[in-house]
Amino acid sequence: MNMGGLEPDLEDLYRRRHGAFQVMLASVTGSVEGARDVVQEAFAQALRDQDGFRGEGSLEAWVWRIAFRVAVGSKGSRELAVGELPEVAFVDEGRDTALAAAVRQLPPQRRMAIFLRYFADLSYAEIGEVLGIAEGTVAATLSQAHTQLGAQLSANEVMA
Amino acid sequence: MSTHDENLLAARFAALAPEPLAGDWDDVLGRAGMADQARRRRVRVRALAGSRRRRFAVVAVAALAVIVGTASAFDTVRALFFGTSASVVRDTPVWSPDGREIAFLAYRHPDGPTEVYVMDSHGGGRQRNLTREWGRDVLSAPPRRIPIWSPDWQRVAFVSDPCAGVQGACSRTSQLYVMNADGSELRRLARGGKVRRDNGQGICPCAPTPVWSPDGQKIAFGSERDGTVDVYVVNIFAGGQRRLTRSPASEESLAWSPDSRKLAFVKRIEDPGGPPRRKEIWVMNADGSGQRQLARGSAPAWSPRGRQIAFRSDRDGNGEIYVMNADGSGQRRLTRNPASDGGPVWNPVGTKIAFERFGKGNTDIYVMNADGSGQRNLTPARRPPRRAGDGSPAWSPDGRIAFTSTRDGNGEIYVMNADGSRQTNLTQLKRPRLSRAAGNVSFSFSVPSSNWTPGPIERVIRNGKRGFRSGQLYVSQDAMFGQAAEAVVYWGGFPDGDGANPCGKLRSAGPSIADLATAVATAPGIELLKGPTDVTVGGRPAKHVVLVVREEVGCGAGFFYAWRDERWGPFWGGAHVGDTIRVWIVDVNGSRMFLGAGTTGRTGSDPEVLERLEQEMQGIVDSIRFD
Repeated sequence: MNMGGLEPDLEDLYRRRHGAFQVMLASVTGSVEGARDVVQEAFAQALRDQDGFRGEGSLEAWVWRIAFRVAVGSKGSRELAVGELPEVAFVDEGRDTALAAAVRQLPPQRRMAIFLRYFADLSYAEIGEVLGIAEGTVAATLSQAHTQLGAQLSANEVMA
Repeated sequence: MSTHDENLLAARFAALAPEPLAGDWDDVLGRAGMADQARRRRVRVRALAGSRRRRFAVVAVAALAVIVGTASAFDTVRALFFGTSASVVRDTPVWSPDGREIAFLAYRHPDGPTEVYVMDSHGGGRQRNLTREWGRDVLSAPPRRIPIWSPDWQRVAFVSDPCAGVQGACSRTSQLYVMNADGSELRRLARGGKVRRDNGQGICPCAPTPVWSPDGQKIAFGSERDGTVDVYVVNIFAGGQRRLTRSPASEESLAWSPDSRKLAFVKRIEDPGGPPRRKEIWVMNADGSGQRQLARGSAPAWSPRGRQIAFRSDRDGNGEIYVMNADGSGQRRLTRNPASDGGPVWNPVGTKIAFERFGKGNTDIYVMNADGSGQRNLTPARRPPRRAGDGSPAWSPDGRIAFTSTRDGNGEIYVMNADGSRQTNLTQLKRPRLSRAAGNVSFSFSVPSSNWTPGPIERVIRNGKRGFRSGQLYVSQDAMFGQAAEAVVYWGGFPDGDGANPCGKLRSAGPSIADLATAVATAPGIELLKGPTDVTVGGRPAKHVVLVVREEVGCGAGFFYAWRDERWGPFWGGAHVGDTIRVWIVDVNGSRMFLGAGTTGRTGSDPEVLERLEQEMQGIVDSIRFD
């Protein structure tokens, strides 16, 4: 990959998706302000390290992985190991405590998949790329998450 | 989970999504050490600005669709629990000139007519249904919105709702009426605007609310007679209306200057093919002469002495409050934030401005000094704001603020001091008993205060930015998912889709409520505080157990569950270490119903607060009646 060759694509991705990146990453950093900083840094790293993208998956999935790495690093903890996922939670759980409680009970991978689906608005294939799992596994994971959330929410909420 | 449920889940996630901040690609380039590209790009971006605007417009529409979808989903929940007997306040509260009374508009039935009420502004008094007192003539031409009182409250004018009681689509002309405040001497003053209603699609306002001049002599109103709404003025005593504007634009938001000599108004300009919609604030003399534009913006509000006009403008990207001199000079921005601000109103002495801030799915009332300093949220969320809206602030002559709020689940009128203290629900409209059905058991109950949310029966007390303490009442019943082979208490993560729980520690329990209560009371990892004791719930035999979760048992996240059937696993919501759980297991004609009330106290739990929550939850259980 030529240096600078990805810039137009990254810029286009940024313009289309920086909001979704912020919303999703706020679930990792705990604030939109922190998330914005992570997004800026992640795209900057992507620009600097364009050779790191080997064209095997989508550009967006590659940037998501960089962003999660930056997000975990920004919290002053540690680098993200391969296959390891950061913890995600709603920034303001008080606004829907029933959903927040149900989501808290999802195992980490299901929780991450659900957030990537609804906050990052990613396709099954893209979620698979970000998480490093097969698309079929994504479908199964999301199905299990839906089942679990459905049971949890119906048990706690509308019972008519 | 069906597609519908997934859509609902998507909407609930959307409601929880924080508002993203503005992007800045140049900043990214700078961080990447590519500042040169940033400079070169700026020229290109300007050329692309048009196409980018269209892209943002599409994003905005998509977001709106999500919000509408969420709102209707919650309406369904509300209809389910409040039935059709909901009592809802509509429109802005109106103060009497002496500040003793407040008039408001409410409906007792979503499909019924709106009615006008008056109540004591300090609360506790009787609410008088004025529409009924006014009698048959007014009932035959019910007011469309809150009537407008003359400044001395001796007379009332209102625009009729010709579509009230009409089934299906309706398009009719309203009329402007005036009468004495006791309902006598009702007479038609002028033709009002068109009222249109599509089949179930809401009502077109079509004309601005009439406004009474401060000297009590005239009423300005809007009427649509040749395609767009124009401004008219009618003299109350001499009669005779005068058309003041004659423009291709529609006029709205009429505002008399305090000396009754000028009218500020908003021109809504819609050019086909041009920018979507533009609003301009204009002013004219009371006879229509001297019309001129003052500013781009809307919602003009004269300061009490008429020297300044506060208004809303989105000229800088989103709605903010501005102020200008009455001649349009000296425009300055008072608010600066990513939410949308609107509806400025001056306090009676002109030192403060209250306004509405719309953001993150709910609306709050803010107040600031007239120079924009000291901005403060007077109605911060006290519990999860399920689209709770606090709005329509109205200052009393003595400087209190009346406003409408949906924080109880139905619209009510509240009053508070100008610093936000002593917020009191004045209307206290009757909240019917809530009802639930679980399997073949149905029952009703009432919640002790408006602090409890009606959907999930829940109360949350905020504690700092992220922490909260909550009480929540869970209800489940074995019959819900068919006859459970056995009841179990277990720990661990959620079972997988096929029902296998890889790490939970299952403990079987027999079929009776005593068997299950014993299993709950002897579950590993808990400390038993009380029970099992024999109690009654709704007159049915029950077992009561109180426990604290002490340690994690099992390989999952360490949640405690009770009650499981072969298909689904737990009915009981998970609990964290440190949570207190109160359990009632009720025998309803052989069906076993499980009631759980939990208090979450993970972040700085305050024993007094938890105790109060538990007392309130006990009150809910005490109020249960089986059908």
